[in-house]
Amino acid sequence: MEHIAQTVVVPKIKKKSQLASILHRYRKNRLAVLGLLIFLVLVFMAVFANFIADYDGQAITQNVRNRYMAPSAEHIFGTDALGRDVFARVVFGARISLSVGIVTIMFSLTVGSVIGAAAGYYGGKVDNTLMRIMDVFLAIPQTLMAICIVAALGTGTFKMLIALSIAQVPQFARIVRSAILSVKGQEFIEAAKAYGSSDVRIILRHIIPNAMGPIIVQATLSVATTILNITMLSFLGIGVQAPTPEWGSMMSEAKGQLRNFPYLVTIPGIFIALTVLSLNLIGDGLRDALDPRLKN
Amino acid sequence: MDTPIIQTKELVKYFKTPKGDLHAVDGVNLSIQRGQTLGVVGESGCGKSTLGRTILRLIEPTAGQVLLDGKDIVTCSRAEMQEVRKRMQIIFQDPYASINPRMTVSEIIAEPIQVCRTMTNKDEINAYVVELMRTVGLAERLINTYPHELDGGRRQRIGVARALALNPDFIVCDEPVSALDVSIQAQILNLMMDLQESRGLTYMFITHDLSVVKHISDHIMVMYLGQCVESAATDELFRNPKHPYTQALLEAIPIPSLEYRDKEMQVIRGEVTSPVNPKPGCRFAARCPKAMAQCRESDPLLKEDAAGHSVACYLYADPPICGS
Amino acid sequence: MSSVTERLLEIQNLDVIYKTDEETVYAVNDLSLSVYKGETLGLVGETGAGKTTLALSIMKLLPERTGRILKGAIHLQEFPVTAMSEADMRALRGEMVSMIFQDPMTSLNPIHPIGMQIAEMLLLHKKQLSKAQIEERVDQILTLVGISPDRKGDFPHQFSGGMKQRVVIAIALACEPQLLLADEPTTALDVTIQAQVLQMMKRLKDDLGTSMILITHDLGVVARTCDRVAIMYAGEIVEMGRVEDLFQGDYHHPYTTALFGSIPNLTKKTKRLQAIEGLMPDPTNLPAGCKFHPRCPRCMEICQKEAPGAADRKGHQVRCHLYAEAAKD
Ligand SMILES: Nc1ncnc2c1ncn2[C@@H]1O[C@H](COP(=O)(O)OP(=O)(O)O)[C@@H](O)[C@H]1O
Ligand SMILES: Nc1ncnc2c1ncn2[C@@H]1O[C@H](COP(=O)(O)OP(=O)(O)O)[C@@H](O)[C@H]1O
Ligand code: SF4
Ligand SMILES: [Mg+2]
Ligand SMILES: [Mg+2]
Repeated sequence: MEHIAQTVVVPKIKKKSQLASILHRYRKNRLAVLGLLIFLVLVFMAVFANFIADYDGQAITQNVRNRYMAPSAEHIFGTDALGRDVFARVVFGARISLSVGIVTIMFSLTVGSVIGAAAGYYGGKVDNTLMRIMDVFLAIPQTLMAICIVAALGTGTFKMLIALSIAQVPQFARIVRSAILSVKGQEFIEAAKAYGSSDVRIILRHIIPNAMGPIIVQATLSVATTILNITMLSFLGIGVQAPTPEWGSMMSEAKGQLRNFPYLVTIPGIFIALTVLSLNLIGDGLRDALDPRLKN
Repeated sequence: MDTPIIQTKELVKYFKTPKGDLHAVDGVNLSIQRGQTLGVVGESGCGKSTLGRTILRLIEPTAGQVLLDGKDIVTCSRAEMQEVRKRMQIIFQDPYASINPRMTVSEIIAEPIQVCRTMTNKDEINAYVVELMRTVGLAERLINTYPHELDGGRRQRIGVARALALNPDFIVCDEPVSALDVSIQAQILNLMMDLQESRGLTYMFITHDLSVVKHISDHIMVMYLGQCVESAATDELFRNPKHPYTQALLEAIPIPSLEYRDKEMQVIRGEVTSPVNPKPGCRFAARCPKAMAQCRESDPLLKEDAAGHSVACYLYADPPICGS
Repeated sequence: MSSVTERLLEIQNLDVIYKTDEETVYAVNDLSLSVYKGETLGLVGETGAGKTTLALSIMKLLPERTGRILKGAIHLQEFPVTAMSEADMRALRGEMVSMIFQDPMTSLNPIHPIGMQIAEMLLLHKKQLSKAQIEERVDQILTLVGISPDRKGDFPHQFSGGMKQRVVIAIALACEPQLLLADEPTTALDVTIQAQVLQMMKRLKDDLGTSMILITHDLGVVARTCDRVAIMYAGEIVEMGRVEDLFQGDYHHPYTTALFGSIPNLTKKTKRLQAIEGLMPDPTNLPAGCKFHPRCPRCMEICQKEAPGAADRKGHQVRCHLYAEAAKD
């Protein structure tokens, strides 16, 4: 035995890092790459909005003489009912829509995962208590709950974010719980217990990676729901406060003019759709890239 | 005799079900000497896996003791258990479900070492993984492959390597070859016997295949509905099976030889009864061709004769109960 | 079995492949065999040898989009299975030939009582029977497989594994087919239950005069129940003969010898098993020459290049270059 141990040479086969092979698999999926590109463009737009358009001058200041101007070289997306440049509003709207959408999901995914993981992994009383609480939340329609929370906390972008996050927590808890249940009973989990892995390690290293598929897909879908929820809250006057530009509220402000000036509704609509689509493509791509069984 | 490496005392595991307590393991006493193999046989659902997992404390026992080198591990604290775990490992039946599909071969084998921090240097771990792969007959080039790229036999070798990583003394082998084809089964059985010899391992070998258990075991325990009904040295058990269930089991094995072709099979009728709140009395009474009145009244106790052959059956009660 | 008995099934030079977008699996390769009236042929081989594929080809139930019979002919008495239409074949299934699938537990419909599932088979094939006659026949069949007719209203989940298996057998036998294809019917059962089922199948076969292909990987089951045996490896029959031929003497294919060597022997104490080194060949890329040559301990030069033909000694065929002389005789 010792003799062998001394002569062992570390194999020359270079070990590809996990990340590298995930990236490799991701790159092979053209649609996923396209999704990522679209998303990066949107993020770029949001981050560098200041360099692309003029917030005070174009997005906020009303200019009644310029109302309802059709798209032209000067205003490529035209102007709205108050004479504001739609392009500028879309660019700045990306900030709110994307950041609220993504931060909300991060928050609700994290909280939901912890609750769902604890419920699924420990089962029994923990499961019963946690999931019954979640059921109560689930029984209330998401938007209604968001409205109630905003009503309780008061208006403001940050408070809205909290409200939307809390509203999403129960569904993530459910999904994470069922994903964990489907993996928990497998023998490799028992093997991990047999060599003394801690619960946290088992959940993070063995259960979550194997349960991630449905969770990622749901997360990307939820970003879409959240963006639409912002719209709704804005519409009720308890979300983003006018005149702050935001895609959803742009759409709802313009919907009376749908027949006369359809671009006022369609342009922000297209951006919402692009965001949702790109996130879905990224979600699908990630799910597949994270699964080594789909190597080829 | 030396202290057995593993011993259980009145080990009990009941599962709560809506219909009542399911007696998965019901008062099992066993002991295994260092370097030996105890074969555990019985039909599916008789509690073999539960017994193995309870011994490793992957399932908490309802009652009873598990002694490792004479020390009860059921009462061990979490920290003490961590040390105990290094000495006891398990190999599973299903080569597909028993290894994490998202990890590479080297990650799987290195995991126990990282968890228990028996080594910390990366190169050292890597060299150790390669050595283990060699030991179990896995080609080095497979080090970065994922399990789904490998066949059942190779996956089972990964499972063996993972169990060996902490250099344990005792391994519970839960039907490690049942899912494999005969030719691959033979490769794995040979490997396990070689490892036992070179490392002085002690096995508890669970299976429903009597020819496998005869091949690998020194001692055999026959289980029926959570209880040990007979236990003896391998040769003794096959030469002189006492319990009617053991006899039926031996009778039922199809032997690949024409000698037994025309022998009328003594097939026992009926099927395994429910393990939920079983009635008192011998659990086998409903199927037993020799059942007597008292078999249905109270549990027969396990009695050991001078040669170390134990059986739980009223036919061998001392003095024999005849009708009275 | 004497050669005068009537031939029930004849398969000649059958090639079956599975073709998917990425690859072609050569599942059955140039396979010929016959089954005579009243006999049980054991079909033995490891996972992936092509046993199930062969049975599905006989039933003409290969997966439609991927499975394909490339060449060869299958005759069930006078019926040319390979050339028949699906409609004609449907009439043949159940009445002429029946199959018990590998996973019997899932081949029962969970939402119908078992009696109804047996009756359905009869309704399909014996249209002349009246309702009362069908009921009577269901009772008869259940009694035959050792289940009380009182239980015909029960649902599959109310039965244990061994009993479900008997129900499956009852359905397969309902129309008294001439040929029964049993695909590993006892693999999922415990030994004592396996013994019950095997004994029952043996009795039924004798009573009804059914012929059977019993697919298994257990040579013990073969020794107990079969009249003739075919050993399959990588889609080919490497050895075929009467059970006596296979279990005795030393005129054997090296694979057969290895297979026997790798099972632990209950009657003799051996220290080590004779494992067959290596793995089953990749069915998408079978080796040239003899398909067993990469694992064969007696491999010769010719084995790597030329595929051996079947050498026949009084009906005992071995497909191996070691016995090439016999082939010429
Ligand atoms: N986690 C569990 N909860 C409830 N019942 C269980 C559980 N695990 C096993 N059982 C039951 O305990 C009995 C013994 O199971 P098991 O130990 O797996 O048997 P074996 O390994 O001999 O086939 C069976 O009746 C099984 O249904
Ligand atoms: N539907 C299918 N598509 C592609 N390949 C298949 C399919 N069914 C079986 N195969 C392949 O055909 C070969 C023979 O399979 P099978 O007939 O099921 O073998 P056996 O029953 O002897 O285990 C195997 O390599 C198997 O992977
Ligand atoms: S033909 Fe050659 S390689 Fe094939 S089994 Fe015979 S001896 Fe072995
Ligand atoms: Mg088990
Ligand atoms: Mg098959």
